This record gives sequence, structure tokens and C-alpha cells, in this order.
Amino acid sequence: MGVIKGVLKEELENSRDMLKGYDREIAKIKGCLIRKKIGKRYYYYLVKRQGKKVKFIYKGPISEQVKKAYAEQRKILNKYKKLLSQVKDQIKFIKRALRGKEAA
Amino acid sequence: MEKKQRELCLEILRRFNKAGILKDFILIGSWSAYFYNEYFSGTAYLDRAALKTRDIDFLIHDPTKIRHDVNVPDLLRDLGFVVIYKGNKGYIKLEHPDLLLEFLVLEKGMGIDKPFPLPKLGINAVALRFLSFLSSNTIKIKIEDFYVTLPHPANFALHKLIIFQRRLRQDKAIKDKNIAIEILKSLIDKGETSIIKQVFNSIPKKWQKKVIKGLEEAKEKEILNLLDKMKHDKEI
Repeated sequence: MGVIKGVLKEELENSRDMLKGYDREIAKIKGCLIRKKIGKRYYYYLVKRQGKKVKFIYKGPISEQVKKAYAEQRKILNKYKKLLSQVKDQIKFIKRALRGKEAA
Repeated sequence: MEKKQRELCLEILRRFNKAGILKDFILIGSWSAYFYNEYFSGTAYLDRAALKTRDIDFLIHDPTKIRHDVNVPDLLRDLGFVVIYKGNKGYIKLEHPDLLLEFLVLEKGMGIDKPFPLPKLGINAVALRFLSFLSSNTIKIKIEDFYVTLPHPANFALHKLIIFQRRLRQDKAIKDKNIAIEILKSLIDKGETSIIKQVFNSIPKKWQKKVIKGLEEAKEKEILNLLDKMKHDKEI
């Protein structure tokens, strides 16, 4: 095997592991906090997907700290989703590159 | 190298420095070849031989000296790093589409075939042979307002010459051999032949034989001539 193909194979394996890693981390993040305005007041709900259904769980009054934690979690979730799509593109790219011929 | 990858690497180093743990690490692997650009400024050195994977390897020379409790996965979480457990033994790697972080420690005595726990850092490390050769002679390279520790290029190159012969994968062996030769030639260009010789003389005879064998295999007569030919001839 040529040097480049060897490196690419290793990278493919790494990217596949990473894909699983991001899937696992995304699954760990359970729901997002959303704010609904009902009448003149705001109410907070945790939105979770359960199979095909999306559930809204009323959270009652919540502290600023909890709000901040959920906002942080949301940011990380968005980041993971973006990186997950990057990993998927990498896998496609590496697979394509591995099909090519490497000069001796 | 991609700007994005370099930026991410620098951000990791910045965070390690801020957390007070960068001083406990020695940056090894193909990324040190990148940072040698600074060391070889003024010579024709280009880390072109270092075909990089995304791996960044950090060697922890003495885990008992780690003073700060820093959870490394948490420190890098917002950058998008996830913890990946490799193999059935559970070696931890921190992975990101642009970079993969791995931590290494020196293998001592009989060796261990399981991860070396680093509870203060919230990770574990792989114990490998021959790494003491890298940590025994280091240099510091200034990056922004902090320093990163790297193995001395002579140690790095001779180490690569030893391990490329132990590699099971041929592609990795070629990669190691190429970078070793590139760095040794750059050291010669820089006028540091005495350092190569000094490092070579400081290693056990068994290792010296391996270095010679590696250079012979690579057909690097110029470098071979620099080393102690008398010793070599005796051994043959």
C-alpha cells in the first residue's frame, strides 16, 4: 500500500469512529429549552424528540443559571451537528480518494 | 496545512497553557515536525516530508508531576472535541474532524497492555517504548506568548529511524523514514552535525545499531559518514 493510501485508510477509520462519537454525544443531549409567550407571560418548555413525536415538557419557573446551561448545551449541540456533517463529508471524500490509483 | 487545522492546534496549546498543563506535555509526532520550522528558520527546512495525519500526540514525561486538576475533555468540549474509546481496552482519544489528540506516557519495566490512567486530566494514556529518548533532550519553541516543549530534532529524527523498522505498516514506516532523513539533513544544513553525533553516542549500542541499519536501508551515505564510522565498522 502506498503512503498516501495508508494515511487515508487510517483517516477513514478515525472518521468512522468520530461519526459514532458525535452520534453518541448528540443523543446524550436531551432536548432544548424553548420559551413560549402565552398571554403576557413567558413559559419555558423542554422540547424532546421521542421517536416520531416531539414532546413539550413544562419546566415551570427556571433560574437564569439553568437557562444559561441550556443555552450552552444548545450551542454545543449545534456545533456537534455541524461537525457531524463535516465528518460525513470527510468519509465520502476519503472513500472516493481511496478508489483512485496512487503512483508508485 | 490547512489554516483551520493550525488555528485549532494553536487554540489547544493556548488552553493547555492557560490551564497550566502545557509545561507537563511534550509535543511529539508529526506536529513537532511542523513546529520545527521555527527551529530551522534560516535553513531550507520544510516539513514537506511530514505527511500529516490529524493526530497530535502529547507525551507526558512524568505524570506524577502534574499539579493542576484539569479535565481535558471538558476543556476542549466547546471546540467540538468528543471522547472516543479506542479498542477493547478503552484508550482515550479526543477527536475533532480537523484534529485527533492522543496522550502517551513512557513504558517502564515489563510494560502494561492497558491504558495508563491520568485522573488529574480526566483521560488515559498509551504507554510506549523508546519515548524516553524523546523526552531526554528537549527544546522550547516560542509560540505567541508561551512556550511549547518539543523533542530535540536530533532525538526526534534518530527515534524515527529506530521505530520505522518496528512498524508493521509499510506506509507508516516510509513516512517515519522520510521525516527522519529530512530533519537530519536540515540539522546538517544548520551546522549541527556535532549534536547528531552527540545524541547518537548517548544512546545504547543496540539502538545505535538500529539507527545505522535504518540509514543503510535508506541509503543515506552522507549521514552515515557523519556518525561514528569506526564504531560501526567494529560492529559489522
